[in-house]
Amino acid sequence: MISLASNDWSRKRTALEVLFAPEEGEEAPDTEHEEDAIEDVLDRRRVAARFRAGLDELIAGDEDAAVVVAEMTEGRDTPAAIAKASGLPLARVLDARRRVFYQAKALAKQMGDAIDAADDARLGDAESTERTEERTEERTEEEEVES
Amino acid sequence: MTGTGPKRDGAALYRALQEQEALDDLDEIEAMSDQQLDQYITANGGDPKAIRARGKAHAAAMLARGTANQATLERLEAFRAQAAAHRSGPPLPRVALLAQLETARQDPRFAAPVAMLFQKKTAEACTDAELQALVDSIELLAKLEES
Repeated sequence: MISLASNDWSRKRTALEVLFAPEEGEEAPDTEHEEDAIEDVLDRRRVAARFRAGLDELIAGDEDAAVVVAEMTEGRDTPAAIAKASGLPLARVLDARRRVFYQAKALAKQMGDAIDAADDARLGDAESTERTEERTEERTEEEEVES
Repeated sequence: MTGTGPKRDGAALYRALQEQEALDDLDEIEAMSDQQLDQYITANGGDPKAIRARGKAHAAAMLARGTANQATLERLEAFRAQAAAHRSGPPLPRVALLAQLETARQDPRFAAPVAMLFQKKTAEACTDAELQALVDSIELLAKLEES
């Protein structure tokens, strides 16, 4: 299926795409936010490892797809380069690539949704805690006024 | 990437998969005949006639823009030739250069640009070559005003 025709390029980026975006103009982290920066890097690595493991799981049993993923991990991207390095016929490489793309996209969507849901839950918890604290403060003030 | 660098992590693999999928899509489209492409677009809910009309209009607009740019480029070339011819004269002595700059400073058309030119460095602190370049620029500005 041609993803260009399905307006894929103009859609909103998923949480996973944002997380996996190449880092531009990296600067030395300022010490105040160094811990956050380290946490972000670790987070990105954890998610990247989960993506890789998830993809391997989805293509388990599909030997051609496994070859495509292995070759692309080594940096051989084009169908011709994969066919040459692996010895697979070009047509099989092209078919296997389609299956890998499909599984990768499905996995990315699933992981992106999970990241969004976790972020929403975290935000919800923070707001809920804030509201509880505000209510407690209001009650304390009312009690003080009454007494 | 040709497979000589370090192994990709999950994030880099994901980005490569996205890029390769788009390239495969482009290859697939390029390999289609016009008729096959029309059929493909129709099968996916698109209107090939409308898309063709939009493409034609877009190409016409781009061509028109190119023609307009060509006229601007020709004017720019003529101006460059004029500037080169103007600058081929002998350099003026420092006293004459300072006098010309002072005259320009009194001219309401050039008062602002001259003031701007001397924001960081005074005329006295400039070398003869720098003063000559400034005078040349002002004379060119005057010519532009007249043309």
